[in-house]
Amino acid sequence: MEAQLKDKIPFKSTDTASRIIEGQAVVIHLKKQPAEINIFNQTGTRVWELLDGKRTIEEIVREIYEEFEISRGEAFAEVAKFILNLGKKDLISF
Amino acid sequence: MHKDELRIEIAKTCISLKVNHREMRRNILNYYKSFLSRKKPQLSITVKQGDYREPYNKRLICKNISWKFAQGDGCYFFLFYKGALALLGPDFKSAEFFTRNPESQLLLFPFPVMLLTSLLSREKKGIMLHSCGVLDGKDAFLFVGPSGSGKSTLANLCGDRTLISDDKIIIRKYGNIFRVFGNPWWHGNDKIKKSVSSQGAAISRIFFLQKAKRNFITPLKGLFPAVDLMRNSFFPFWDPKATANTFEICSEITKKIPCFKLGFIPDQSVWRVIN
Repeated sequence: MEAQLKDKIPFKSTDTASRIIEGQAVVIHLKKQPAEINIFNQTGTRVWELLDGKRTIEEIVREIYEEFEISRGEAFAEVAKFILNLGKKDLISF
Repeated sequence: MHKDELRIEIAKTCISLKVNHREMRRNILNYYKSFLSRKKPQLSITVKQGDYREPYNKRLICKNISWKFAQGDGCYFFLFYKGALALLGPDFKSAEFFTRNPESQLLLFPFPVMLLTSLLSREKKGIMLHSCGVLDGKDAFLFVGPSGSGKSTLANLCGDRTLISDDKIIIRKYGNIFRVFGNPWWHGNDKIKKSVSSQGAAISRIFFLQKAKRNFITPLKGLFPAVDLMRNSFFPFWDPKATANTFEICSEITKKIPCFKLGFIPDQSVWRVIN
């Protein structure tokens, strides 16, 4: 899975609205009714900020393991799971 | 003012309605009679009764069970499934509203609400919330919750207290103060409507409602009350910037105003707990 994912460049869907509130990203999909408000933890919030449509998943993972002082393997597993979940919710595309 | 024009003022925002159909104008006038104004309008709706055609080359942006919002022929528009079309000006502050049905209720609700919430959120001036507001002296208590949480029950228990609204409240920000305003978009029966107030008041407490087997109050802090407020807000989904601003305003409100979870049994004893 890692080989398939690491070079992909995820970007936020234009159908989302988000704000960082008290250090946590609050994200909503504008086309989904009833609205589901997504609130991310500290790592998820940082990943959401890094989803700029320029960085690859590998580059996002690197930022995460350097900032949060966790192993690369842990960071990749966590980031990949989070990003795939965002994809399932249509909050991002690749 | 033109003879076809009506102006209404809700939450300190003046809306101009130009209606050339006499019967429609009379219905609108009757509905908004407690909210008439002569101030300079910030929002303007020109109503045309008759047939219309949907713009070509459209791109769907969002939709719900009663309308869809799209872009076509160089402008944004709402198409209401009940037979109406609203073409919006570029800043969402004006609209041409076409309806085939002269008895259409859409100009009573929800179309003006949609423009108003969009304007307030976009300019970070306020939000609209599913809540019941009750005056407490000069200040207001806000009781927040979705349908079925007990807003109408509480409104019915309000006794001699002045009700600001039983279902939908507009909150406006004035520096560090948040004021609530009543509006015509009430939900309850005629008995409740008589006590509805259009006046504004500063919010002193926010209670998130929960039906319970006993009365209780628990203070709420941090992100949770902000998210609960967001869940009960009217989001202008068609406007991402305004939607994101709604998050911000909800967070600001819950930082500045004490918030509580209120469990209550449906009788007057709830007021002893609140007070």
